[in-house]
Amino acid sequence: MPNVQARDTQSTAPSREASAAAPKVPTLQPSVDVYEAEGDYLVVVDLPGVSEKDLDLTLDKSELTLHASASWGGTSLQYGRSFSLPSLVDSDKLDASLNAGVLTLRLPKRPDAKPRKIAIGTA
Amino acid sequence: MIGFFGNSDTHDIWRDFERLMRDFDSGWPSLRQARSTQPGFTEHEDRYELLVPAPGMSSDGVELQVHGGVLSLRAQTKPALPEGYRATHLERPGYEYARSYRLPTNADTERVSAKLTNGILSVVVPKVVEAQPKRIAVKVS
Repeated sequence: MPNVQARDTQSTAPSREASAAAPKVPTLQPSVDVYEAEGDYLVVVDLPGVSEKDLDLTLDKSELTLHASASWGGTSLQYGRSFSLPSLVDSDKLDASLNAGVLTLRLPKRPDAKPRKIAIGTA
Repeated sequence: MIGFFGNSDTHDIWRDFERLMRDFDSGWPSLRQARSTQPGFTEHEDRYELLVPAPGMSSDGVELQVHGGVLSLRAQTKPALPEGYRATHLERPGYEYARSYRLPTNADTERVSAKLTNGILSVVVPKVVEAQPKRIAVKVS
């Protein structure tokens, strides 16, 4: 069954290169919950210390990438995670909100992807 | 190739090995990260500051007390299942704290303040302004 897949950031090459080249700012992999309903998915991400201006979401085809930076007392840290979206997600209608360090992404499914009830005619 | 070390097996072993090396490479930074987001006090010139990760926490979920030089913190946030949804992948742990900290003697326990910003709880404990040493003149009688 297709689903939103949360990827392990540390296993992707770009972020490793970035963390090696940049001055030692640790990149954390934030915790993610994924929920599903008939019409959409909810992806909920814990991003303590992140404000809206420090959050960057990029969608490339079906790959959604999250980058964020946070200040933790005197130290800086970064969050990174990517998600592969199933094709039934209508990626034009993504909706994101950040509240108290928690990011909520709403990913609506295409109307034609929702289950439809098929009427059975009697002969 | 068919045999004890069939193609698919060899492939998996290599992948495991690569993953192992990757984990090894990234092991130290991730340990450091883990430490950097634990609740902890930092000392500044004029204050102590306790930072606690609390994503999704509201002020209702936090209870702070200072009594007899001890700061007690109780805080809780639990991710709730959104209504009408079913969970397909769960990682968020929820945060629950029940901790006490003995404050240093120069902590000004009357002026402790706390705020929640972007899912981080910060508790500021100012230091008492140290009394300057006073010179005592010795009179000769």
